[in-house]
Amino acid sequence: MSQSGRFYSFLSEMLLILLFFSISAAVLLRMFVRAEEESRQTALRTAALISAQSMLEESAADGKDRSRTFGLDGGEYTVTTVVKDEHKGTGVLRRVIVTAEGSKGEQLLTVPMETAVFSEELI
Amino acid sequence: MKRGGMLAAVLLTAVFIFSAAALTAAGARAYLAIQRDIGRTDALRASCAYLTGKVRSCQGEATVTEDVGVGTVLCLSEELAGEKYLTRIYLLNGMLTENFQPENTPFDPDSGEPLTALVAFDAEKENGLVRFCVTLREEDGGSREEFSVRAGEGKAT
Repeated sequence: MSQSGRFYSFLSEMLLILLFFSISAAVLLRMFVRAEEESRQTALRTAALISAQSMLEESAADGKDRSRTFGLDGGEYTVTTVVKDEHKGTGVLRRVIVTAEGSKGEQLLTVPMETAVFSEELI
Repeated sequence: MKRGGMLAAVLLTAVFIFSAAALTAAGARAYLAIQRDIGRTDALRASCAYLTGKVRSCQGEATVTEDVGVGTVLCLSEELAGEKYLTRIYLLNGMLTENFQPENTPFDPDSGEPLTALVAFDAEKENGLVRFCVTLREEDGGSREEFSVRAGEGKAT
């Protein structure tokens, strides 16, 4: 094979490698972005879960509705608690329901968190 | 022609090397970000679950005191076989530490059991709630987190 022929075969080989590499890079980059997004979403869900648990405790203790917005790594979420007191015979059954919503309106808790406290002292 | 071909080959090789390096850097960056998020989630879950579990399972009273050597100390009292015991939770040398000993024994912070790494730990008791404030290490995101737990006597009032 002549020298220029070798050159062209090297060039076409290089182009093929680059083509294959670009396709692989595109796939990998997409995966990296998705993995980062998933990881950020998981961190947000964990933070929302802990905030929800904390606000549930606060509302169960004082019986007040609450709504707070938290920020995390550029993302935001809002936790809301709703308190319902029901008079039951000897005391009051206090139910607290907590929901957590992301900035795009998505629910961060799979199901709303709920607790009930029965107290005779509430009468 | 030969010179042009040579230049194109060198250029293509350079593009290939640069792209490979950029892709490796992007992968490393993604890995670091994911690791940081995992570390943060783990540290937060560990400290939160531990403190919540301790306060919830406390049969006696939960109090917050200040100790000269270690700062804020969460004291949980309980009675076992007629003797009173205290579980003290505090921050010592960057580790959240638990110390369990009879009430009448002098408090020795160094004899505690290290649990999880934190930068700062603070607690206060208010209206039947124990409010915790923990600061995670820089490698775990370095954030400051607050959460509340109803103490034994923290029923709805």
